[in-house]
Amino acid sequence: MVGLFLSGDLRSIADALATYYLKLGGEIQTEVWVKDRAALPDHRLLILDLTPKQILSIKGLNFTSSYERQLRKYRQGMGVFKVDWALSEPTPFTDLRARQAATVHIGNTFADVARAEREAHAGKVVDRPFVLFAQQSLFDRSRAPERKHTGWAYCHVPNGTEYDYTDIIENQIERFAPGFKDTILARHTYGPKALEAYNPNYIGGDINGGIMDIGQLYTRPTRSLTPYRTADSSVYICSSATPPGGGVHGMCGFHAARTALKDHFGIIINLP
Amino acid sequence: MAKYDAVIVGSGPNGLAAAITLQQQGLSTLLVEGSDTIGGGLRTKELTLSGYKHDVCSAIHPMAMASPFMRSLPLEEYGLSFTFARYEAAHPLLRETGAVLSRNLEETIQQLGDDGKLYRSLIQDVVDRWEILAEDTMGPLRFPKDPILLASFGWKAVLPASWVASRFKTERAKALWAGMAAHGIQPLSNWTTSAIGMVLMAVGHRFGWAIPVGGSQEHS
Repeated sequence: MVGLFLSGDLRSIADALATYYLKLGGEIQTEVWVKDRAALPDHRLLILDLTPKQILSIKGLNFTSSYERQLRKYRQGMGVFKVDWALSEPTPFTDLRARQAATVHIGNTFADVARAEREAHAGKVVDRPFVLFAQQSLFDRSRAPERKHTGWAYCHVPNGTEYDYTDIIENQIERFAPGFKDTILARHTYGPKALEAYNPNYIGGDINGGIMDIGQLYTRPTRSLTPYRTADSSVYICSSATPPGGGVHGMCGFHAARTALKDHFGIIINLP
Repeated sequence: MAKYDAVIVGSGPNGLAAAITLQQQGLSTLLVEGSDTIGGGLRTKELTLSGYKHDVCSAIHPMAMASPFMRSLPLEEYGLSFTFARYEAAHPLLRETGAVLSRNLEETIQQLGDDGKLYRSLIQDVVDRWEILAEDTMGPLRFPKDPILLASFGWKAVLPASWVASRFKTERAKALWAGMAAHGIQPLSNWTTSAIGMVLMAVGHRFGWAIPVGGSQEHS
């Protein structure tokens, strides 16, 4: 039964978490798009791993209009444009240490990286963007057929842009790894819109669930010391739109659950 | 009585974490997901050609092994294993030798020459006392467990990354710092952009940047 909805034959972090959860007695249902709370099975608490925009579209939540107004004011950050490649050989970085690193930061000097981020944030198309490149197959041979490799990269782009950054990204990598383009067997791209269609939490391609600037670092999605709580005492938010924000750490989920346990069950828990 | 104590909507790492935390306390929970597979930003698919497995969103996981929550779970027993590269990250430069982030703090410091000392002053405390800092920073604002430690981290972390960069002398250190801080997905002149740079580097030294191994064993 587990195999029905796990992410394939990869034993990812998600599969391990889900398998553990099922072992604890938890239940999972896939292909359930929640549009109305009333359509869900009878329950006491609702915990939402969703961004404010999606939460606002769900019917049956008992929110005040001032709370809804706060959610509407929540700000998204830049989007990402992502490319995955099937490669005939390892990426030929001129810098030999870059060939031994799982992640390669491609953007040259501080000034170049700073300019790229500033201009993308200002809504411009950047010719030489800061590219985050990963080459997992060099270190995990199960990712690609024998002697073949994968490449994974993205750059930060204006939120929701429809511009195609494929050439820009490949040209930028080519500057640091001459010959890279000749190793490309196939590619797949996700622009901001496609990413959002794939995972509706990525609004306009924003993978952090809202910009993590000083105004929204700890007071996300609303200005509260316990922003997991909502105006409906039976509804909590646990997405990366709550502290401590984006990244694969599960801490938003943990803290939302911890708050709900305290509020409704009188259970106080702490991590070891 | 309700059928479920809680329904969790969305099966990314945070939805799974919330569901696990509630279920661990004996509540009855249901996790629902809109897509046909769970995982949110953690999915892996053959996006290009058959036999090539691509991480759809998240790929390398600097924060997974550094997360107090993830560390509290017996995930290795449930099939998770990580592998590591020789270097966590590299930052090549076009006109001179670039920099790397290595698990080995001393190796990283050594390559930075004159800037090694400043690097150590930024990172060493975060590496050594990560557990306490994680508790004080990876959650809601509340009275810190170690106010002095948090203050000494906080006054640097709150700075724009561009200010800290101006204190480095070598291009190599400035560039390494820029690449880390840029993970914050905002201009490096923004307040608090130093925090992401410091944390990514420190957890790299402490735990490594983990790559989940994509094996193909069956679940039992």
